[in-house]
Amino acid sequence: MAKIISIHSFRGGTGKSNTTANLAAVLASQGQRVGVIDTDIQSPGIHILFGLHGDDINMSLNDFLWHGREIQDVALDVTEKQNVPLSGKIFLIPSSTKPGEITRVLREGYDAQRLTRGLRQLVDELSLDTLIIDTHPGLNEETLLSLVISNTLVIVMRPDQQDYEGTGITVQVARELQVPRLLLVVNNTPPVLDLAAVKAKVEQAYGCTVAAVLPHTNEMMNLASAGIFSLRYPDHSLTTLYRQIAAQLA
Amino acid sequence: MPTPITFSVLDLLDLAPAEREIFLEIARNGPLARAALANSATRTPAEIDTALEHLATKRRIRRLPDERYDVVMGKTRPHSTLPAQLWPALLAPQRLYSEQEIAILRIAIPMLQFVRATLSSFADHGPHHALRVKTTATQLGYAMGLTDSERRYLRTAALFHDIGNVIERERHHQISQETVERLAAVGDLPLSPDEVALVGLLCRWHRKEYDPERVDLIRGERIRTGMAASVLRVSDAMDIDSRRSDYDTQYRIAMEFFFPEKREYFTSLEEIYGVRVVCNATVNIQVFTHGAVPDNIQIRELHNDLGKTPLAWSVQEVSIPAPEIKSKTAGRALIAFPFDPHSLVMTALSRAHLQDAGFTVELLSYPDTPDGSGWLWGSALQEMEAEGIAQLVIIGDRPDPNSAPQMLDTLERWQMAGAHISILNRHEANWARVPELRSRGIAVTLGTDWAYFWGAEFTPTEFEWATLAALTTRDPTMASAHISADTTRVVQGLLCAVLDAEQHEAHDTAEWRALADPLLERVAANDRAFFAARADEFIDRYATPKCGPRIEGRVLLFDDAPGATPQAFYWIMERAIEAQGFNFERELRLNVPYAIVTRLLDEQVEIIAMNHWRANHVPPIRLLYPDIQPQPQGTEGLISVRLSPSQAKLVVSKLVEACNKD
Repeated sequence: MAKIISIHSFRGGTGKSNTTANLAAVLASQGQRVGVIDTDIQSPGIHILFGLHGDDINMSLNDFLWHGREIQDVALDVTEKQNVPLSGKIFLIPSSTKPGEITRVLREGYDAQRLTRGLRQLVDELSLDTLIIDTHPGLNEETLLSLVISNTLVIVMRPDQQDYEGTGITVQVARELQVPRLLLVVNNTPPVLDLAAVKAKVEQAYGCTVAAVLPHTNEMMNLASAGIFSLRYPDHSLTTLYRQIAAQLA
Repeated sequence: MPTPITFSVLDLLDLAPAEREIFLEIARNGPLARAALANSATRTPAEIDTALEHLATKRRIRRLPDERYDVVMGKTRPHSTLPAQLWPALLAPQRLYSEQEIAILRIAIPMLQFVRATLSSFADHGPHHALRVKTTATQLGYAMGLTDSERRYLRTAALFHDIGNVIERERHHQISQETVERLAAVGDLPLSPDEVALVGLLCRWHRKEYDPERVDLIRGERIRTGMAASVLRVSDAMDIDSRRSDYDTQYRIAMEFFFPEKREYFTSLEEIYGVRVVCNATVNIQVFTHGAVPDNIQIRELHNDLGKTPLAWSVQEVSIPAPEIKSKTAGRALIAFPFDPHSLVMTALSRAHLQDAGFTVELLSYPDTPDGSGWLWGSALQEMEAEGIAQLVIIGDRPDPNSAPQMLDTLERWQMAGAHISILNRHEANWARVPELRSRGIAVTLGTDWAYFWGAEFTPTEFEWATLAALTTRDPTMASAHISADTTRVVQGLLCAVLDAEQHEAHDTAEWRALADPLLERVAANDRAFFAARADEFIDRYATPKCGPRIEGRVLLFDDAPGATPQAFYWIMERAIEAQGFNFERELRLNVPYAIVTRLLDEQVEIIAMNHWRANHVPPIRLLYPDIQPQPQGTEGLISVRLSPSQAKLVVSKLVEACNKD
């Protein structure tokens, strides 16, 4: 049974998509067949990290939800595009960047059943070991649905007052929805803070395991989502931390 | 054609726990056979079968040809999710004043203000009316043994039931229902879809046709919707005293000019002192009137409304002043009361009535401290000789869940010895014990704070004193629009006298009795002047802060204040709030509605917090207190608590934050 992992943040700008992409890359470099699905239908973006531009995307999640496509046909094998040999595979199901498609979700809603079944089908057809769901920030319908479907929820947050309260609410809701496993990742931690102290404080505040506290890293800032950090800098300490998180997803 | 299935994660909250567990398991793992469910779930096979059946009825599950079960979701509903900040409210409904209720109040109160402004030709249907109906419905809900959930929905419906009056009087009950549904649809109410439907229905059913026997299943729990609606209807019909007509004279003149046919509504309200409930085996609604008022339309409506429900309650009209009592019983009566201003006045009034009825009255007085109730039930009344006491009257014992078992034991002992027992207690935390007391044949009185005296035969002067007593507790539903300056002085003087007496440090009940006697005499003799003369002393000695307040948003903060009880400091806080100014829009809108006082007391910090009684555009302060133990004592509008200095600092900052939250 494949693992279905949701990566979520209460607010935008926490580094969620970067975390998703890096975790997928780490798992693929360890030989796993990994699927990444961008359910952030309102503000799609993770495809950029995998080296795709909007024009490169012919088919998207939207095609599956509304235009009758099979989900495995919508999935793009982006393994080669990473320019680094990977023993596993990365498949991306992007979200459409076309404005009309985006507003359609907001107006009409979509078939929740079809999405749920589609994800299971994807896992079967592509023999995935892990499926990672990248979600839109905040407690909206898509996020909540992904919580219903997932075995693991990873919440990415920054050590920032606004994130603290919202993350608390998300943890509460996740517990209410009986998500089997909850992990927190504290991202973009400023150098002045002691990483171990942050870990302890956050764990105590939420009663939840902190998979890693990721320090603010200039190379990551400079990379600016032009690529996947852990593949560019495989020996960097930040990449070690991504591997540490990946190990806890097993 | 069945309605198409739609899905919102909020729907999952409407499932009973077993149903939700199964739904989530299948959603997460794919279709499962019954055997697989039985293995992994922590439920018995019977529970699983029941849950599957219910899920099938709700069309949330279906059986596949291979006998496995799959979930049924359907399309998502656009914009159906709740904003994040309302989720905690939705998930935490168990506290007495839950976050859910606070969130609902923030929506309801401004809308009700608008009702008040719009509905010019009728009596108050605004926030005060809604809050009074909510209080009455809560009391009656406790008396009738409604469950916590039933009471919660009833309270919410009480807040919204008249909101439809903004649009149209005739259809307002239907509009109230629609309003609740529309608010939920845009994510403004922390209620799950089933709860929204229920509350909406209760709103619609507060008038016209309804089904008094209807029962609904919400999250697997049985809710007696019909009974709740009956209680709501009668609670609404009971709000018929002069507080309902708190317009000033100029406004009344204009109204009577343009709507002369409405005059009777107002005069009929003015004929009524108040309404309270006395329940033992039966529930008796007592309406106190100025003299005999046989044609009072409000009372007639109350009878009608009650008659349309299956509730077997009675309505008793008590005209004041009452005629001489013809028959007099002999015997002894005992009144047990704590040494606080409200209880003292109620004791004075009760004693007078008992004496009029032919009893010789004995008094048992004790200090008003947190462990007072424990002492009363655990030792004083346990050890006392019960034989020969015909009437035992318990006034104002403080809520103390720890002493509940002893209380019941003690009451039984006294009943066995032949005493009739009356409980006169205004503390909301004590209402939960009402069904138990009723079932034992003990008379319990419920109402707003003027109502807690024994006996229904009294004079207008006594009623004034009862109202004065209510002012010492600052019951916010009093909507004290017409308090004279003299009345204010009498209240302050009474507080002064009580606080002075407490300084004497009495050691036993005889000494407390000695302190109480002179005060009781003065009240019985209607010696208002005696108390009014002490008003200035009260302000100087007990209610003047060392330094002025500072302001944080909507809150005035006083540090290091002198004074004793919260009621003592209430007056200075009230004046300070008014000094910060207000906007006038048919109701007073205060710029700074809240005040918090802190002071050091034997190495602990006492916090006193309040909202000005006119601050009906914001939630009452009690509802904003953080979820930290111990919870404060007090009313909705005036609370006090003692904490360690560090805890106090945390609580004050959280309270200020909550007061300033939009």
